[in-house]
Amino acid sequence: MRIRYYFRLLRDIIRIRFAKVKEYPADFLTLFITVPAYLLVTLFFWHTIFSHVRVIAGWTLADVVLLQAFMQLGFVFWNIMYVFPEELSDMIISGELNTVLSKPANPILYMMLLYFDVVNGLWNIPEAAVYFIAAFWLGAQVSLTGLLAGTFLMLLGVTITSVIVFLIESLSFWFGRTNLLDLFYRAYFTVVDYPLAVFPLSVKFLLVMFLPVAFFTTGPALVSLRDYPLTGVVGLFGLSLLVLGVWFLAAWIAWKAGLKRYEAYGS
Amino acid sequence: MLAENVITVDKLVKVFYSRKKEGVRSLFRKKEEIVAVNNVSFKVKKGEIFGYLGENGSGKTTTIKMLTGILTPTSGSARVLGFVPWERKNEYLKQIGVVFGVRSILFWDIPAIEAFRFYRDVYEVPPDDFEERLEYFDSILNVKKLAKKPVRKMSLGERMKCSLVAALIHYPKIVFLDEPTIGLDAVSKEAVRDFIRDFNKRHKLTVMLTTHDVLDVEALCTKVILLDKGRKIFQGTIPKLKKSYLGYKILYVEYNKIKNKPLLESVLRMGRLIGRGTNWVELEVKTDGRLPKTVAGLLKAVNVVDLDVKEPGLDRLLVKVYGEKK
Repeated sequence: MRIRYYFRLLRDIIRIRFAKVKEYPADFLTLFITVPAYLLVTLFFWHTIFSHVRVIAGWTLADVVLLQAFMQLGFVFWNIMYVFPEELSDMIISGELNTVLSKPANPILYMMLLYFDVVNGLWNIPEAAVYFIAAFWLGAQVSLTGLLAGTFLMLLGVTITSVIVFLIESLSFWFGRTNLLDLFYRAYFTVVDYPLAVFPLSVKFLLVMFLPVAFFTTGPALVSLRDYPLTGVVGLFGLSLLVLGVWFLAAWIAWKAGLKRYEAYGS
Repeated sequence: MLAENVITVDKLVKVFYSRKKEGVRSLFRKKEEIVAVNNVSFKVKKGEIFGYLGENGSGKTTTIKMLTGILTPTSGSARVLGFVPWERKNEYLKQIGVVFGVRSILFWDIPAIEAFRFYRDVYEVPPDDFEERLEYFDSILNVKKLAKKPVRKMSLGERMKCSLVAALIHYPKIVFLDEPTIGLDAVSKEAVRDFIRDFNKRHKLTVMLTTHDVLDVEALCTKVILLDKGRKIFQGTIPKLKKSYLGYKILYVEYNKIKNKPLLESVLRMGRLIGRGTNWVELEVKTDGRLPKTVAGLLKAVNVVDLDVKEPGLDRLLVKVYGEKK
């Protein structure tokens, strides 16, 4: 692996993203209006729900806001690093992948760099910060090590999600445009908004093993809580690594087989 | 000393399988076999600019995709700079450049200079060399000032100039140009041709060019390969191509007086009339010995003011080749 080589390309891409901000300053500035508006609406939503009930499936308002904080933190990483799986289908259909394959770099890393967007993820940082502050203010019982463990678990969760999206988008190698499958992971992003505990056991199992929502938001929020048992933390980490391994293997096989098909059939 | 072969293609075949109709039903239809490239062999020497010509769907782009490592062939072999292209080794990809005319490799929203810097690092060009190369590109294409303009605000011609710089910033040994002048106005086309010619001369760049613009071919190519439905039907120089396929020349005569009208009419029947005015005629005359007789006849029949015998243009030739096949 040529680490320095890819870091140089990363530096170039970061410069390119900021050059784009300079080209469209008004677009960037609108974030200062839309982000607080979005925050107000979502906080108001949860406040309204919890004005009718004290807890939902064992989750208090503070816990749910903590979950939202991890979700926003997850989107920071998602929007910065993992946009490229969402673009894979279009790259295959449009033939953009040809350009990628003719460059002297690893195709996946090259695609990841092309869509690496540090600016895109920046606006989720204040959102996450406000949610964390709100969670503490509402009395969430968290520890620093718990928060770190939660962040790490969330990173694993985001990676698992991106691997699944990559796998889904890889289907374009065989079936052409698969935009309708986007709905599949859009539904996924709807589910991450809520604690896993609200779902029946069978759905919970599904959301841990097959659509691993658990590791994106619920898991990180749980492990950051002070009274969450160590065995639970270890179990969640072990399970997340297992799930990541299985999905990664499936996505890797799909990519390799898809690329072989692409080399044989073209776009 | 003989120039080395940098591209050697031997019996290359590419077959695609496709189902006729799109949609779910198509999954159950029988696959149709499409032979995109059929048993094509050729060799290219270092520093040659060779045109790879053919109608749409004749297999030009498919061949380029195989030689740039994007597609693997169904059978046959190829070596480019000593590498098997579809193994896609980084050492190989660093030595080639690719321009797909319809697809820009620039970043749409920002100035082109950012793309130049990015590709500088993709191909690991040393910073000093990069500056020196930019000076060179600027001297021919005037890109330095242009590169500060966002790509979205550029004209098509300006974008192509910058795309060429981005694709050649690493000074590749071979460049594959797929329709580099598509959609450009006459001035931009000429600028692109001048640049390719100069780059080829200075750096011994080997160019594989596919184009529908015969002026590109006539202005740049030392050798051409003609494809028809995936098959190579000709390989050689442009004069040889014209000789093989046309076998006629164009005779233009301008006169101020007709001395013998019946003789003029009988001389004109020796060729195929392609144009006639009050004091001029233009006709195709076969080069089977008829040309001197026709000229002699015309000199007797009219009072000649101007006379010109010229090779037919490549466009006529291509229309003849592909038109006849249809």
